[in-house]
Formats: sequence, structure tokens, C-alpha cells
Amino acid sequence: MHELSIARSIVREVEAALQDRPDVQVTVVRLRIGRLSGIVAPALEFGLSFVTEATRLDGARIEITEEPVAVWCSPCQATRTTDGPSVLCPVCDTPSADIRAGRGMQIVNIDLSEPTGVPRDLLEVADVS
Amino acid sequence: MCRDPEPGPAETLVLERNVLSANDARAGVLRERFQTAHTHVINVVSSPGSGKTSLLARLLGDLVGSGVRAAALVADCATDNDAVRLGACGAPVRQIVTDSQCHLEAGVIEDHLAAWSAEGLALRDIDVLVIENIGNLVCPAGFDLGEAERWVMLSVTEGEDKPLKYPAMFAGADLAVVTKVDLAGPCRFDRSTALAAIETVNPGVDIIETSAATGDGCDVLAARLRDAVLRLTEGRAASAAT
Ligand SMILES: Nc1nc2c(ncn2[C@@H]2O[C@H](COP(=O)(O)OP(=O)(O)OP(=O)(O)O)[C@@H](O)[C@H]2O)c(=O)[nH]1
Ligand SMILES: [Mg+2]
Ligand SMILES: [Zn+2]
Repeated sequence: MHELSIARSIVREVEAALQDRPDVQVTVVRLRIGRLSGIVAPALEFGLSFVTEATRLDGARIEITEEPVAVWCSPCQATRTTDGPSVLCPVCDTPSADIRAGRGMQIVNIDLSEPTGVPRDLLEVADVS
Repeated sequence: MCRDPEPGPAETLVLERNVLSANDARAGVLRERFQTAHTHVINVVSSPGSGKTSLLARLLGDLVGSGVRAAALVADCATDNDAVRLGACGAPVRQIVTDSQCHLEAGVIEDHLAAWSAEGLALRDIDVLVIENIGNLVCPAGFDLGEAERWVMLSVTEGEDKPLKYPAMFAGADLAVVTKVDLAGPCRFDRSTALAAIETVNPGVDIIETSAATGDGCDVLAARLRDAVLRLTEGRAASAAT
């Protein structure tokens, strides 16, 4: 399984995006995994639990949504969302080689918080009182 | 205004970043290098033991025998046994030992091309570069190596429904090679079911049935590569003329 190396890439990408933000911590990582990506979600979560150790993703919650497979169906002349990892048009049952979605894996977004001390919105509340 | 007792996240940062994008970028650079050097590259994937090395050894021998400058990179988690087998025909072969990695990435190919280049073997001196990927039907699917063609192999001994179980790998292939057809009888291989399974996940894909033991279908594979080389040679002549 290459979920471990994918997990490492996720950490690398997130750290790269936070290069200019040395003082934030990641609390949630949201991922979108295509049904045809070959990536197994539990294995990926397991891998992440290892490779996030001592990084700013340590302890972050991982939220995974699955991206369904979409194919272009030529007889229907339409883009169809298929069942599971199949490439069969659900309407006319024709297999398609033109896969429009479901092969990739994206980091959708991440939630950040200050690592220590009082979070910013609590300070704002304190200011008001 | 009512506030949660628990502070919410300070901020959500939108990334929308493809996790495989780093490999995709490197593979794109490799693809351009292969095109510039007029090298036809194939990435061969299958489950472990489907017969990649046996068939490729025959194919390389065929190509070298007909004057095609063929070379191979072969990946395994351990040992250089497969490189020894592939190199028997005299083609340059490098073993990629990946330790625990279960698939090849573009960066690894770059490293091995650089090592070849240091030994005096340049990409422009290679007409066909065969890359035997790690035996694994899951992981290599997501990793482009800059190849012109991806071949997926399915042996008659591993079950007709493999393509349905590993659709990502079969859907992404440019050629499906059925291997070990000499064993079809003893294995009660149901040919039409297997071909239908391939067709289901990759409609219209070319399918070639082969045996490394008898040589069946090897000529068809070799001819396919020779045609590709011919097209590239014409391209090379054309670009030399301009
Ligand atoms: N009968 C028969 N046996 C074959 C054929 N091709 C390969 N084999 C046998 O199948 C076994 C595996 O063959 P390999 O060529 O090493 O397979 P591979 O896909 O390179 O294996 P890995 O690199 O370990 O994944 C060996 O015992 C081969 O002798 C064939 O066409 N017919
Ligand atoms: Mg092998
Ligand atoms: Zn349809």
C-alpha cells in the first residue's frame, strides 16, 4: 500500500502552504478521495496518524469525503455519475473510457488555530466585555 | 450574539490541492524529455508474478535482435534477479530497488536516467525504454512516470475478474496484455469472461494475448513497439530537417 507515502505528501503540501504562518496549528484536514483513486481511506488515516507526529498536523482531525466516479456516456451524450468504482453508465449500462471525475485525491481545506495561548475570537469577546 | 463555549477554528484555509500533483509535475517534465529524445517509454504494471519479466525478457530480445535500441528499468522491493533476466539479451538494464515502496514515482526514474547518463548512456541513444513497475495492482495506478503507454498484464492464472476488482489500474491502461495463455487449459481460464471484464472497465482498449513460454503474441507486441519507434524516427528525421 502506498497510503504511507500519500500521507507524507499530504503533510508536505500542508506544511508548504503554511510556510508564512509559523505560529499556526492544524486542527482539521479535509480530503476528497476519488472512488477510482485506489486509495483506501482507513489505511490513509492510519498512515497519517504516524507521519503527522511532531508536525503541525499532529492531532488534527481527518475528514474524508468520497468523490464519486463520473464518466462521459457517448450513447446518452451526457456526463453520468456511476455506482461505486464502476465506469458503467447507470442509465444505459454502457462502459465508458472517458472518466471525468473520481481518479484524483485532493486536500480540500484545513482548519487552523493558534498553537498556544488564547484563540483570537475569545480575545475579541474579552475586548467587548 | 450567542457563542459556542468551545472556540471554533480560527480560520479555514482553502487548498484544493491535488496530492499527487508533485509527481504529475515531474512526470510532465519527463514526458517532454522522452519526446525530445524520441524515446518511446512503456510502463508495465500487473499483480506480482503475472509474468512481466518473462515476457519483457523475450520482447527485449526480439527488439535488440531487430536492431531496436531497447533498454529497461526494472523495479522490485528487493533483489536484482529481474534485472539479470532482462539484461540477458544484452540490452542495458538497471535494477531499481525500492525497499518498502510499493510503486514507482517519476523522481526515481529521473535518478536512474541520471545514473545512466553518468555511465555514458543518453536518452537519445534509447529507442524503447521499458519500465517494469512493482508487481502491485493498486498503488502504481496513481503515479504517472511520463510514459507514452501504460501496459497492464493479466495472467490466466489469477482470475478472470481481476479487472473488475482493480478497475483503476485497468481503466488507465493503453494496452491490456493477457499472459501465460499456454496455461489457459489447466487453469480453466474463461477467456470470454476475462476479455469482457477488461472491456467493461476500459472499453475499446487493445488486448493482446501472449505466452512467454511458447512465444505466442510476442511478435504482435514487438511489432507494436517497432511501429512506435518508426513513427518517432520519422519525427526525428523531420526535426533534423528543419
Ligand atoms: N507457463 C508459463 N509460465 C510463465 C509464463 N510467464 C511467466 N511464467 C512463470 O510465472 C512466474 C512469474 O514470472 P515473472 O516473469 O517473474 O513474473 P513478474 O510479473 O515479473 O513477477 P514480479 O516481478 O515478481 O511481480 C515464473 O515462475 C515464470 O516462469 C508463461 O507465459 N507461461
Ligand atoms: Mg518481475
Ligand atoms: Zn448512458
